[in-house]
Amino acid sequence: MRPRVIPGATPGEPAAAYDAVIVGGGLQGLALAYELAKRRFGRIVVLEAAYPGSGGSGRNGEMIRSAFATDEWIGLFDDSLRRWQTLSAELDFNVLFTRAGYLLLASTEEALAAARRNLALQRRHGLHVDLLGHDEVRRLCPEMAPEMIAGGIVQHDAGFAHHDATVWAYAQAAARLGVEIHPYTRVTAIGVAGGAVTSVTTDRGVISTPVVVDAAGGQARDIALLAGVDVPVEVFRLEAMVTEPLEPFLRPAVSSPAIMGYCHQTTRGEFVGGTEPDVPVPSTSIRSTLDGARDMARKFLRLFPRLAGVRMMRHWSGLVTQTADIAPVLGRAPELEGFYLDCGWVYGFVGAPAAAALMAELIATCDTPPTLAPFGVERFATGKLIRETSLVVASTEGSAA
Amino acid sequence: MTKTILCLCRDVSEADVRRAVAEGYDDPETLKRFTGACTGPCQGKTCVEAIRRLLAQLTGRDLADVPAPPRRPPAAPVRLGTLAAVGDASAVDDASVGDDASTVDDTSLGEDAPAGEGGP
Repeated sequence: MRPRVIPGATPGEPAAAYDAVIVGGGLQGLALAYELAKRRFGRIVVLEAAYPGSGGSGRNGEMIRSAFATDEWIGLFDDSLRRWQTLSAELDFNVLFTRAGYLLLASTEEALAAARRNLALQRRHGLHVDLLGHDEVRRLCPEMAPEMIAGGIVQHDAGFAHHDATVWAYAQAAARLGVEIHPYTRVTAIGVAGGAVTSVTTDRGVISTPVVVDAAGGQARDIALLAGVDVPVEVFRLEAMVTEPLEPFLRPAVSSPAIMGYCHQTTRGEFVGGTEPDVPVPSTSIRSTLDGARDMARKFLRLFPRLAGVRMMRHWSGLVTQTADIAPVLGRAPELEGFYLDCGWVYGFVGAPAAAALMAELIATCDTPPTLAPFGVERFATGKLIRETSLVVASTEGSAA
Repeated sequence: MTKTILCLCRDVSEADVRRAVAEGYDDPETLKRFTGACTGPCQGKTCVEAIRRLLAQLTGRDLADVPAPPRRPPAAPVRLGTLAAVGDASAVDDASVGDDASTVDDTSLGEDAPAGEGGP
């Protein structure tokens, strides 16, 4: 008998037909399956090549905010943040959402001036944000190196959650609504006829379906190519780390464009974070590197000198798929009826709850929700890219931060 | 009543593993993530074989079909101060670097090491 792998996974073989096939059992795919099932979409299956949460969903920095710098990002991610506030109750599983606040640190006067401009937009959207000066940031983060602090924006009702718990929560909630989840089931072909998807072939058989969603994370481009759809994403490797547990010293989640890093201290006391190289590393490998470990150590010591004597316990890598504007690709594939894209994520952990609900609305009603509309793949043809400037992401055109 | 601890770092008991497997976390990787076993400072060196054997027994699988979860670097915990000084000869002698300076040469950190994760 096959292992179950996670609670909620389906024993037995996949059926011969479903109303929707979701490729990728990460957070995006599982959350979308749950939201589609809530709308009684019919028979839904999630196909996962490894174990659910094995990709970016179990490797990300777990941080949650909606205080961005454009209407488009704030619209999508604040919808998500509102869902995070009640997600444990909705899914009946504790995802350890910790509303400890999120500080986007400004280390220069220029960064602080940009933060001031963003604050006005964020307040128009009703976000719970404040602009902090040097002294206020020092009170919030007493262990932070003073020379790194010009000020920053704090979002009070943001924070972090547990990424594995969130994957399991959505999987179990989806399964209770009848969704099938098949781990270790690899998609090898996608059938197309008359300009529409018709089937998905896996290493366990052929499934006919009128709807296929590409939620395959680091493999999303490969999956789309099986259907003849070219998604303009590049795959980059990121590295992250966790230290041994230590006494509480850092309450909010912190992002720092100056070190291109992000971090938080878990409720168990570990310091968790990642930093990005100046130029992103195009790679589909998830090997960790000594350069990556050293980069994180050097940068986090600039931010928190007291960590010099604290030991790194584990270090890992994950993949992100970046578009030209670093925003996700959400919506229909215009050239192929029934084929949907939910990929190109860099901020996928925080964005999943809203993206899933909005994508489910699109798939179930055929109408694109206004919040979702700017993220369509059409933008790369029309040139209407999203000019978000508050991201802590290395990009090939230099720092986006 | 006796209690058998399998993972000393994370205080995971045999009963914890049995309960997790019964719930459905019966893949080495999801069992590791759910219980925390093998993610402590020893990186599973102490417990991984005992957990593999118990998982194989509970699921009726051959031991060969129950791989150990991938080991993530470093092989032993390393101070951030030590890592930050890698490649900086003047700093390696610093007293604050301490007794684990030797571990930065561990090949598990290098490019040629086995993948940090098995992954998809």
